[in-house]
Amino acid sequence: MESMIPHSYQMLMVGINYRTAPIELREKLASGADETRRTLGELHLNHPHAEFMLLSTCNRVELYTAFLVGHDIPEDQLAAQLARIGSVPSELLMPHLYIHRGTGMVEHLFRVTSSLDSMVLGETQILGQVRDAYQLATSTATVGTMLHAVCQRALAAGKDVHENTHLSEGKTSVAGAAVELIGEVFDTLADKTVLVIGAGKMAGIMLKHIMAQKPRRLLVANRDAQRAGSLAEKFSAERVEFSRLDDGLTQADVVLSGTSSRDPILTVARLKNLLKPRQYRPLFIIDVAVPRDVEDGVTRLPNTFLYNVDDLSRVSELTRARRGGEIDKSTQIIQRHLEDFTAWLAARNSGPVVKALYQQCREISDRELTLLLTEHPELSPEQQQALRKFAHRLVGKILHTPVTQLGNHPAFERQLQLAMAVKELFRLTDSSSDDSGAKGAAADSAS
Amino acid sequence: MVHAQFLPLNIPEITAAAVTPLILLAAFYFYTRSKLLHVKDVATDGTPKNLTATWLVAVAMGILLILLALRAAAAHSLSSTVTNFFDSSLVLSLLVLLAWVYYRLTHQLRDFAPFLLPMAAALLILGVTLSFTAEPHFHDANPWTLVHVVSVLLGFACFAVGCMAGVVYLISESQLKRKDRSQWTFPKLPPLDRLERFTRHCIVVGFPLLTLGAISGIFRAVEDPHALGRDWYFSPKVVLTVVAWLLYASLLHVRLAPALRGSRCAWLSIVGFLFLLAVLIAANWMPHG
Repeated sequence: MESMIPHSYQMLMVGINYRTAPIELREKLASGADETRRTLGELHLNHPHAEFMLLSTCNRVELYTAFLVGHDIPEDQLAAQLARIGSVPSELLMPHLYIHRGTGMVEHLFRVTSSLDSMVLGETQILGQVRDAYQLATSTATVGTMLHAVCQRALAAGKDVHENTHLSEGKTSVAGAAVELIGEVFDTLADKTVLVIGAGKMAGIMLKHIMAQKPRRLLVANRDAQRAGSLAEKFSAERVEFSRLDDGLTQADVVLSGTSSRDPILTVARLKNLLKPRQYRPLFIIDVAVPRDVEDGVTRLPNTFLYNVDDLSRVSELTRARRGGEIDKSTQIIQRHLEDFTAWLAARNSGPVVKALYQQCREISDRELTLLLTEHPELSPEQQQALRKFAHRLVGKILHTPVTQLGNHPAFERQLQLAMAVKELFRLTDSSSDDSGAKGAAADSAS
Repeated sequence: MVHAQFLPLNIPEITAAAVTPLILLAAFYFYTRSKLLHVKDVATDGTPKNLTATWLVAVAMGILLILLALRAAAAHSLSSTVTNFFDSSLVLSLLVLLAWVYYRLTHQLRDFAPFLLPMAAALLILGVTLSFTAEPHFHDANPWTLVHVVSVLLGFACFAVGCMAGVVYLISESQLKRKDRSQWTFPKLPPLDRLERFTRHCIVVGFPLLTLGAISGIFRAVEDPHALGRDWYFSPKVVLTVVAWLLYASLLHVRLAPALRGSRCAWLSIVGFLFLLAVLIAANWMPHG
């Protein structure tokens, strides 16, 4: 067997997600627990020196691997394996595929667990999905030292981001902001009545969001009976005659107004008169009309809340701005975790090389020293001791700079190259040769 | 009739009772700075700041329990411990903190729970402040006394929690009316209608207790005319209690209730509680009417 420095790993991942591949393709590649286990087992059989994890959700299918340097797995082989899962030809898969290597792969997984790569920013479900994929791979014994470290750190990074940022906070659309504000007043809309006045485009968009909250009743009032009818039909709503708008207002808890009227429809006087018939129930009014349908003074009435389009867009812009800041914050958190990981990896990858290098140099110096001392028996014990110390210090001084360079190199790939170069230049042989694949490595990490 | 000597307070007791509100306020600060009030997500509840706050409250509760135990041991009986405002404030604080424990564990009002901490702290601060004038207001074998003390304290705790719900309602309402979300001090509070319902629940539970407390107090006064003095029915304590009772009753009144919705209900719960607080202070200063 080829001698080598143990635990020098390379990492690689191939995958598709909702950005790169259509749902039809993702569906084919998505696999359940049993299928994942089978795939992992198959991969491990073909590559005993490698570790594997398959992350399969409805938005992404990603195959992660770490292998010992010298037992490299070409990326097209991994891609082919992915294609086999879905029984699709590799050529079909290739254009949708993305590939990450080394710390790039680690960073990608950190972004995945932090939901920065998710369709819905700030969702926490992905954390559980990665955890499941990791556990599944662990149970099939295809995870070893490297993927254990990567996955555990990715989960920690994801948790850190979710806990210490407000990524998931707030809605970024105007309609979403409206729904969110309604939620600040009403526990649920399930026992509430929504009244729509007018039927503009904006009102339609807004209504779709509100209907998703499943209000108990929907009333539609429109001057144009035909348009009111079509809206009522679309959302199975009840129609209210425009002349009997006050009745609708009395029953409503949420009012969505978007008419093309030049004058305000909901005046302070009108709503003030309705306070008593409404029994002072809270009223949330959304005014999407320009010019406005609702007088500003309405907000001074008790238990009455009014938001117009400008108010709503300010709320959603604030959320967007905050989110931007949160993304930066999340990226910083990920970078910090990544630095920790690369430091760990650097120590791991260079450690054995450094050890072997010192060992070899000390052996040479010891050999030469023994030779020298036999040739000069006249040397006193003190002189012999001084020579020994000198030889020891010399080795230390000569190796200090290259070893520091090797251990502290910021770029993981470059460091790996340097380690390999040192190994080759000095013809370092490994005394405790290790051909452990996932299983050996797993035992290693467990110890 | 036997009047007990006022159970004197020693310096460590006062110090402990004075430090506890600071701990509670620190916990409140940590809560409001943590994610609890920002994000609905349950998965992110275990933030370090949150945990620190929870530990702080646990420590405060521990201090209160030890203090009460020491006071009870010195008084040789539990029932004769709570005879002045200092001891009452310990018990009330503890009751409010028990409510905190309960609502902290519920999903519905978890965002409200931290606001109980300043209330518990305020009650303690008041107790410590008034401890220098503290006298036992009653200490006797009259069975009505026990009924009176227990029902008044429990009722008072209900109204204290309801008052805080009212305060949070007003904060949330003013934030919503101000519209500019970047100015919101507490971005995540329970929905208004939930807070209002909760305020009413507190009053519905507290009201019969207050009524029982008042009736047992009257029985006591009638049976033992020396306890409150002859003209007990004109004492500030009684008058203020009647006012508070009427205020709360109006909230429960079928005809009046609809008009007392939203912020009015919140204001009423606050004003009612302030009257009750005045009753307690009056009782502390003027034990005999």
